[in-house]
Amino acid sequence: MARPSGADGILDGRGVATADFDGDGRLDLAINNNNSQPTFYMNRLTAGNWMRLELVGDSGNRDAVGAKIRLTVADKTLTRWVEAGSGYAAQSAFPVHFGLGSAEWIDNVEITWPSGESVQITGADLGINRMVRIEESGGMSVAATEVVATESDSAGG
Amino acid sequence: MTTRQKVSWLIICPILLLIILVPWALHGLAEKDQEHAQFYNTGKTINGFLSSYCKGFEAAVVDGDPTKLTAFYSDRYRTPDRGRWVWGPETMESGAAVSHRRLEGEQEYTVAELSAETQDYLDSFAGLDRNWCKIDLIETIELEQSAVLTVKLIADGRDLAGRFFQDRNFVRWHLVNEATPGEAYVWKIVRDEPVEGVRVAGERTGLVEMNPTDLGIDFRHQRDARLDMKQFRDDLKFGVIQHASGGISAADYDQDGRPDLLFLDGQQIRLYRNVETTVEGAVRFTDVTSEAGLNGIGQTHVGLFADFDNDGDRDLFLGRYLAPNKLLENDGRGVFADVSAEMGVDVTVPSTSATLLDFDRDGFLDIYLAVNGHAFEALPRLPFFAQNGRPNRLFRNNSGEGFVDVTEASGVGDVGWSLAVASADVDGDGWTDLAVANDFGRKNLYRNNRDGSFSEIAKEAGVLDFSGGMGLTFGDFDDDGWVDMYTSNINSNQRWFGEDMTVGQYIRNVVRTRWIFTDFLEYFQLYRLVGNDWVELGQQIGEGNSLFKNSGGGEGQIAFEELKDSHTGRAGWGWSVNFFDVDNDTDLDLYAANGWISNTPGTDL
Repeated sequence: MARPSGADGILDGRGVATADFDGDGRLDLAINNNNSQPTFYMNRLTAGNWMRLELVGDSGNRDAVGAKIRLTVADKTLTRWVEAGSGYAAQSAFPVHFGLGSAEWIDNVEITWPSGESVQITGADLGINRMVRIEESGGMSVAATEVVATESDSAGG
Repeated sequence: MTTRQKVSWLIICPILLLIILVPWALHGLAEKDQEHAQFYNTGKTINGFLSSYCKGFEAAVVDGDPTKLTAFYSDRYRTPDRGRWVWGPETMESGAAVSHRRLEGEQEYTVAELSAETQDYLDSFAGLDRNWCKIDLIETIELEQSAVLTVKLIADGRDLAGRFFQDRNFVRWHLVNEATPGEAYVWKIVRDEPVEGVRVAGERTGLVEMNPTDLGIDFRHQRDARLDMKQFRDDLKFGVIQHASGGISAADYDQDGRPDLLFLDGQQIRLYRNVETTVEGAVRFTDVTSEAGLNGIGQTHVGLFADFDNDGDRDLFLGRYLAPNKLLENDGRGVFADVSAEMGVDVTVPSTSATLLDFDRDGFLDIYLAVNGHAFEALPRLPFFAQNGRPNRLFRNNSGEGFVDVTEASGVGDVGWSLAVASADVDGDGWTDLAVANDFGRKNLYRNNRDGSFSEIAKEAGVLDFSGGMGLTFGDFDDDGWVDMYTSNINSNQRWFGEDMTVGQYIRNVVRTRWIFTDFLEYFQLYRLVGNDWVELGQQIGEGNSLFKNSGGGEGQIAFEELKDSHTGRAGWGWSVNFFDVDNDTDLDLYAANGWISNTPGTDL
């Protein structure tokens, strides 16, 4: 899929990190290339809806590394983990990103914190196409940063 | 027998056997060397043939002339019941048009039929940008006479509708050397069997490559000058490691909601703060290396941001290659202070990669460090099972007040030439486990015993994955709730070095140099891991990336299954690999540095 999408650079790629650098709800790629300048791929794919969760630990480590998130959307449960360091000498952005396809709402999110405690959040409290910061101590807030909805982009997807 | 006696016999028996075998083996060496030379020349000239074919392909597209390709076929070319290789219908997947080639009919093929088919294929090109021709699999070789091998023919072209496409054609060739004995080799294809062909086409508007300088990033990776092989240094044994550096971090170090970028390299690491994003999707970075206090730091392979002392800001760990590792504490305003020495992480080892985890669940993040071999002291001994690297290290975070090296007590001091590590809870027990990718070796999977120690279970879990391991990542791509694993490995077309004949030559060298005595322990370990299958390792090494599905073994068990047909193996020379949902369709996709593999709903990758 690299060539039709455009991500088929021929440099000597090493570490690869994914993050939504431009805040448009689609994960972009940054690649450190040995002995060369880095490569950036800004994601302009016709993409579906999305949800991004930034977890703040309290009883466990503050970055919530090791936390498990199970998100149920359109009869499907997606499982992701907070991690720091994988691939090859690479660290992607902390917030856990979920694509939602054409779904307009999330049914449910279950977070299992590194301590083992788990919490359920109903989708209605989260919305979609935004980053939500969830604190283990009980707080939850839509990210203070400007989060750009991708409705116009997602019309086809 | 006592255990001690048993152990003695385990060692004495093979040595006795060797004393008997060595003179016999030496006797046959000269003859075998001759055979190996023939083998080498066969391989070399077939590679030459393939490279000429590749140039012929380019000429054939440019001139629209199939004879530029049929010239590589013998006049005797004939494939009974072959059928015509045509394009199937196009389907859309992740914004790209995908079509597969299929065989139609059962007619016998001679050069005439092949020429017509080739003409049709060439007509589907409006242009060709690049093409590659590689050996995918060697099936049989008759020295200097014939060979059967599968080749992969990759072409980046543009189609008549102006779209950009990539073709990946796999064909089995039956090659015959048509030269008269004693003359230079003349390889020709006498029979061919199409295996698989796929074209993916798109507008190249999905992932748009940006010039880094337009985003405010003027970083250019530079290698570590100490490891420069061009300047002859007597004491530099493994200078190739110079090419390995190039870590990256996209963590939001200042927690303003915008991901920042840290680039690691041999000369000077650079930190860029993401300062502006606009509704139009523009992004602007600014170099904050100096104001963040990161000047003068080179020789760094990996950098990871995390809040190591749980004080609310993200600190920075740097894993450096034969330079003291560093821990830099964030003062809460994005300025970092070097606390390496008092925190006890300033060890000097050949660090290559790292992962963070709270292995003892005390609420503080620990550091697991991948450590390679020492470039100034050693070369990897045993190309497929090198055990003379420096041990990986596990540093336990003592409540944010300091780190303690618990490598020995935890049992995770992998002595392979480690290049990558990752952490995940593979058995779902709530305790994070560890995995290691070793160059010139195998994967290690360390299961967390929940008492500060780990057990190495790669063999039982089915993830030994012998190869030149370079990257490793976890993610649940099949949405069954269990974390799966994807590894990046060398995918080499130079399989000549891995086939039986070469393994034979290797063994002869081992006998000759008496390596068998110095490396006996490694051979013994290897035998315990793979038994008599070890001679097949040569074939496994070089197969490329591997995708392992975790089905959830239940309490006390971990079972991964390698998905051989997932189309994720041939990603080139793999380094970093990532699972992420690129098109927000809910499925995890894979990006492999030098490859791209998408996951379509309801199918395997």
